[in-house]
Amino acid sequence: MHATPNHKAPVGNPTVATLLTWFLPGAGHLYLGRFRTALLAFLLVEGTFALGFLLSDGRAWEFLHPELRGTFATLLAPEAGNLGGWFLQKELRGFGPGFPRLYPDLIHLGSMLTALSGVINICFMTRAHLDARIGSERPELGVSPAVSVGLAWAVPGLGHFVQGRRLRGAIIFGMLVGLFLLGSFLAEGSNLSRERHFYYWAGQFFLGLPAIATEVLSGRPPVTGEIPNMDVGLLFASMAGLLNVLAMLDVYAWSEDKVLGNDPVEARRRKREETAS
Amino acid sequence: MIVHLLLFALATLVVVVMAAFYAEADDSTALRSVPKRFVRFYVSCVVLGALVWALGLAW
Repeated sequence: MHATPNHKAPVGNPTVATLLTWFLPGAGHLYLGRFRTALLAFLLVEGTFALGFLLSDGRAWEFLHPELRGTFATLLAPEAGNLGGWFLQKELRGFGPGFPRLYPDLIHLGSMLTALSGVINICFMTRAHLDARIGSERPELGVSPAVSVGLAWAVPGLGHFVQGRRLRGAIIFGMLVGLFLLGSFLAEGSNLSRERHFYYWAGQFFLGLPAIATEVLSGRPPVTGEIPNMDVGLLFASMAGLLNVLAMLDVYAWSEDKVLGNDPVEARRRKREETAS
Repeated sequence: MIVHLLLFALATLVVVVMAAFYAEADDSTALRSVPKRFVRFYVSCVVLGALVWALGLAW
């Protein structure tokens, strides 16, 4: 995944561009001299974060139970994809004043938006990494790698579908969404709230719109009694989201090979053989 | 017990299919490797589970 085509000179260090984007959306593209993309990244990522922060009053981390709170605990949340926003949240609000109080009405929507800012920034990080290697000499291949990754997050299998890998996309959609729905059924919907299960929710958020839509449509039902299969339900729902990260990586690797002019099937096989040897 | 084993088999199937897709870019090669991956993963986990259970009994 780090190969550079011989006919194209790198325009910057891919690691530096990626890390800069992680710390401050747009900074990586500014380093690469791509000002319009830098501005777009900054406005889109930080705009989503700012809107979420305002709606939730910056109190999403107060969902965490006191015994689970720690300096690095929230790095497991999707917001960690936008490290600048993560620091802002940490410095401005942290875990709150330490006593219970009523949440704002739109805190769930707000916390979804701050989480979404992390996912969007991950897409810009992938783009910065690739742009550093190929500059503006990108061949016309339809959907770009970063957009493919975003689509793969939004709907499991959609990234593969737009790449023309329809069978793979359909299998991934059926398996991951099926696993998530089975998990939600076993957990009796108790997984559909960040307030109740901060970390499991972080995992299932990577399933994208199916997880968000199910949560919104369910209305986050209250837990009124013992749920016998809650643990396995939480595990399944979260696992579905985390496995979608593998699907996102697969989508990116395919697009990247296409952009670099490699045969994706051969490139993957060669890489596996190199790792094995 | 049977229900738990079936649920675990289901989770195993999803894990190995995703792992096969990640390892192989070609669909037919990936799908052909699924049965072998499934058996290897499932049996390994059952053996590990039995070992942990036996150790628990011994202590």
